[in-house]
This record gives sequence, C-alpha cells and structure tokens, in this order.
Amino acid sequence: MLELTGDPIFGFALCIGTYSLAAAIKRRFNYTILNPMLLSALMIIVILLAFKIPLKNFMAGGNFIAMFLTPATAALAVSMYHQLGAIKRNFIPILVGSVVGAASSIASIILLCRLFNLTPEVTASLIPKSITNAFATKLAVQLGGIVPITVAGVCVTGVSGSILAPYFVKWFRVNDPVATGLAIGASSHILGTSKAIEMGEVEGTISGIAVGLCGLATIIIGIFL
Amino acid sequence: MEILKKVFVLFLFCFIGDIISEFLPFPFPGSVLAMILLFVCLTCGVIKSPQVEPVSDFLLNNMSLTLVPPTVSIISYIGTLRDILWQFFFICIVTTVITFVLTAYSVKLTIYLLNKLKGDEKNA
Repeated sequence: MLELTGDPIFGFALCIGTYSLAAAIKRRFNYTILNPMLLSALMIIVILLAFKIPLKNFMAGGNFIAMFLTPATAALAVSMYHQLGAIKRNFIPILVGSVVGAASSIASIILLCRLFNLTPEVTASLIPKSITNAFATKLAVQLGGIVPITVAGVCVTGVSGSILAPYFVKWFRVNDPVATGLAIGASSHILGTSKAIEMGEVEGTISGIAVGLCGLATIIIGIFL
Repeated sequence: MEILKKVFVLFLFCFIGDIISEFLPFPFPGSVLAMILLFVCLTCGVIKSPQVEPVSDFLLNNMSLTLVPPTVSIISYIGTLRDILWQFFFICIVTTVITFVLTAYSVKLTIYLLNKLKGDEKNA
C-alpha cells in the first residue's frame, strides 16, 4: 500500500484535493486566516504524518505541481502588459520602493541576527530570505550560508507574508494598490505575489515586478556584504 | 488544440528563460527572465495577448496551488533548525512586517512627493 504513495498520481491528487477542499472552506467561512495554501499544506502534513508517508513520496507528485510556478510567473507578463499605463506612471515609486525594500529586509535581518547572537553562517543563510528561491539560494552560497536554512527561510517568509498581507494593508492603512503590491513583493516574494494577484490586477502586477527588482537589488547589495 | 498551443508558447518562454539564466554571470531566475521576455514580446507585438490567454489567467489564478508542495516541504527542515527554531520563526515573521511597512510607506511618500512636484510646476 505504502509503495503506491510513491506514484506521482498520489501526491498530485492529494495536493489538488486538499487545495480544492481548502478553497471551499475559505469560500464558506471567508476569514482571511483560512488561507487555502496554508490550510491545504497543513492537511497534507497531517495526512503524511498520520499514515507515516515519506515526504519524498508526496513530492513525486508535488514537484510536478510546483513546476507550474515557472509558467505562472511568466504569465505575470500578461498582467504587466495590461497594466502598462500604471507601470509607466509609477516608474520612479517602483524603483524607490524596490531599493528600500531590499535594503530594509537585509538591514532588519542582520540586526535581529546580532540581537539573538546567531552565528555568521546562519546570518548569511537568512540575509537572502526575502527574495525568491532561485535568487536566494545562489546568494546564500556566495555569502557562505547554509542553503537548507535559506530555503526554509524563503518558505516561512513567503507563507507568513501571503497570510498576513491582507492584515498589514488594513493595520497600516496602505490603501494604495501600487504601494500594496510593491510591499508584498518586496517582503514575501512570489508567495506573497500569489496573494497580491487575488487582491487585484495592479497589486499582482506590481508585486511581480517587485520580486524581480528586489531580487536584483538584494544581489547587488550582497556583493558589498 | 488551441489550449495546447498556448501552453506551448508559455513553456517555450520558460525554457528560453532557463537557458539564458544558465549563461548569465550573476544569479537571476529563469522564471523572472521568462516574464521579462514575454513582456517585451507583448509590448513589441511579436506575441499577441490572445496567444497565451486564457491559459495565462488560469495559471495566475491558481498560483497559490503551485506553492503548496514547497510549503509542505518546510517539515523536512525542522531538524536542521532544531537549535534556533523560535529565533528563526521570529526573524522570518518580524522582518517581513518591517520590510512591508518601510516599502509601503516609501512608495506612498515618493508618489506624494512626485505629485507635489507636478503641482508646483503647474502653479509656476
């Protein structure tokens, strides 16, 4: 029985099934905290632990679904094309926000790591955690960090950003779609962007741009660290 | 058939993005390169948006689903993080808040200053 879970069909079905269920729960109760991505991931974790199914078996199908993140990211280009006017109008604020985002992320991480007396290796692993995985792992290697810690940091940052973003917008009264999109992309990369897309086309587009620009800005700042 | 063609166009851009990423001297993800490339092609008119829509909309609307497996795989890192677990979560969440707030306000301030500048020009 357990061997069958190694079939990609198992992970694929489990992922789509729990996600559909989570989306239905979200629609029924409509609380922001009922984030379908988080709910679905929690359900899968519980199922894997309860039936002692190795993560590797789930990922046989899971990796197939994760692969679609690349074309989904590319698809952001279509939103960018539709929102060309908004991008042109806000060109300078987008640039300023991306640099501020990258700098404040790096500065706050270094500061908190010092505060907790974490080792230089752990600090180096966490510095790239606000940018998307492909940027982050390479920067971590360059800075002498531990890659698995970086990957975990990227995930946790993205998940918390995508869950908390709607609250941040309310608490800090951001009420500007460009500022919202940029802040989400800068603080929680592509995971946050998936939430920004749900908030609106301008938010999603600007968030996608911020992922690219903040990644680049972080890499450039990284050269001097 | 129509749908398959659109899927093909998107994946072709992704693959080209991956190839360019491989040859760049600095780290830059293939997915973001594919996005830039497709955006350039759309603005130049090489690709018309109906050639990728509605597949692109389907992918965008379901982007969260593609992030479920990476979220699940966080459990495999718990062992590595054993000694610094609470500091790790604290840092990840608090820096996300700080970055969000500083970025949002810097954008709002820039938009405000630019509008003021434009207003002054008009009045002068």
